[in-house]
Amino acid sequence: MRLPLSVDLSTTPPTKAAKVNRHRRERWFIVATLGPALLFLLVYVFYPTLDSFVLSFFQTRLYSKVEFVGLQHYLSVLSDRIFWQALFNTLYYAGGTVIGTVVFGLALALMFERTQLGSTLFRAGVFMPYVIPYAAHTLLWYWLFDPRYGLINIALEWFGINPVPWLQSRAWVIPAFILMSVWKRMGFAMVIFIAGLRAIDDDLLEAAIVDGAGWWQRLWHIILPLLKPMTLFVAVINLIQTLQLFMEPFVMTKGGPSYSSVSIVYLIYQQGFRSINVGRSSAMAVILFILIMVLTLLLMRSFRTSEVQ
Amino acid sequence: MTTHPQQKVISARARRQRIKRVLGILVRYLAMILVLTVILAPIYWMIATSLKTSQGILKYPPQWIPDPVTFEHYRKAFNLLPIPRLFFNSIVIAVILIITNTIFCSLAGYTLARKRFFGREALFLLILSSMMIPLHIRLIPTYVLTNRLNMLNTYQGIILPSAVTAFGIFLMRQYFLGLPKEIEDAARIDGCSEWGVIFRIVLPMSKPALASLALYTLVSSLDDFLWPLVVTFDTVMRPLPVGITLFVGLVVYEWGPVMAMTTLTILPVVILYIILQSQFIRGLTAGAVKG
Repeated sequence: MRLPLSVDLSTTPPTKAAKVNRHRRERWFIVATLGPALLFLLVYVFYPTLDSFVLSFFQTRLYSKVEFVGLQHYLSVLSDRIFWQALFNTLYYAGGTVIGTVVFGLALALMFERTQLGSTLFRAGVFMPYVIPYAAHTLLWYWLFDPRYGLINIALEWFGINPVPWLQSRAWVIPAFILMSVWKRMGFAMVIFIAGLRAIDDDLLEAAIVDGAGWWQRLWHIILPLLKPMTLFVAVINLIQTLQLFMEPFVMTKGGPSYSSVSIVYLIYQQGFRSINVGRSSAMAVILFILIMVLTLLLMRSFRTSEVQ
Repeated sequence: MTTHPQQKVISARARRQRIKRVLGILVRYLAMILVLTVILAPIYWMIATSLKTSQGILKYPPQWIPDPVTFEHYRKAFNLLPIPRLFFNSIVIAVILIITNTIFCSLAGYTLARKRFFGREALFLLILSSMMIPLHIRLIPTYVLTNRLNMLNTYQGIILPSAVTAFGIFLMRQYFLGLPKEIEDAARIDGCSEWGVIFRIVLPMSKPALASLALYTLVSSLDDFLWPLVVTFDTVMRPLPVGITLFVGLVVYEWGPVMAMTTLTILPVVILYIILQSQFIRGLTAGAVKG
């Protein structure tokens, strides 16, 4: 990054020398401030990402490359039913969490935006699950989902609902993950939506009331369009995080029952650190990378085009 | 005289509206209490479980308030796992990550916000794009690299991959862009060096952003799981969240000690959060407002 700068100071006039000196110091400052950060990103982000791509084309033994095999890992991954199951589970979980978080966060924000007294306390309480360390959150819900003594089934019983085998049944395991994930994230969404609602010009809403617009009309035609940037932000952040589903299956179900809760990152971990098939694991990592990119861009684009209309 | 009936109508309507408003507020508060109860019940249940006797945990109908209160499960938890050590690990990791992130991200963010040089925009875009590459995608190469650097099972090994984050650089840059440039120029005219400007003028003005970044780093370091899991193989090197989770996989399920450990992991964060809640919320939602 640093450019060689050799100026013979003795032959240049003093004013020019001072200028060169200042210039040099400025350049040194730029290098010294950006250098360490860029070095870190280069070594720990960009290089490993590229290496993931490279590894995915190689047959590997332990952690080193043996032979170039082209797309073989990709073909084998894409013809593996368990991988498709993991892809489906991951998308199901991510989609459910993103929609649930946006809907509940928005509903809470709309309901409580205008309450004055106790609103700080309320906001702090609803946001609290978001600061709980993820592993502890998973253990906590493991206990809450206990089929016999768990709080969730006890609460369901008050409403006359039979106990649900949350983590023991193929049908309920992903909804269980979604439920606990929305619990953790909706406070985050609410805070962002409240900030968005506060930024809306009151005159605009009053003008709409004068024009005879009802609550739903105001929500649909004024509030929601103005909240689009916040919705996009909440959706993108949560999408990127939830596509990396790992801890829930790892701690609570080991991917079961019968693969109904395996996720892509879970398979990456298994292939990379249990079966030690690093090439295949990297191929799945690359597929996840592409998935994150494509879905994020699609989300951004869908929000942008509707904004133009 | 003609205004009299009209006034009456208005006051009747006003009264009705006032009643409606009071009712609305009441309903809203009831809903608020209900929502808070639903959200905080799991946390209460966790603490309550950890304080019950083993028989109390499995009692039906459930015991809402632990009776008798016992710290038996906590004692068991401390016997089964080196909890003080795991706690210490988590603190070391979080503190070092906070220091490296605040220093290096603000330096880089400052230069990206204020200095002009060739390729600045491209560089910024590159840094932004790396925010879309989570660690899980580069898990194996990072592991291989850490192994090659002989850093498996060390603090450096756990810390280095997130010692500088693109998000931090982005956050600090956005904040610096919002600061008035004139103060820095005035300092320069007074003979302040570039380093003086950043350390004596800019950073002291950036305390809210630095606090945001620090708390964000704290929470994400405690959320990290898969990386510290694969890079450590001794229990004593593990951060608290990883240590307690592996314990659950090893021992037959006994929810008392497990909930005691979970409470021990959650409580320090939650207490810190209660003290600094508005800073926490600002830190964790940072990027939304400025982005």
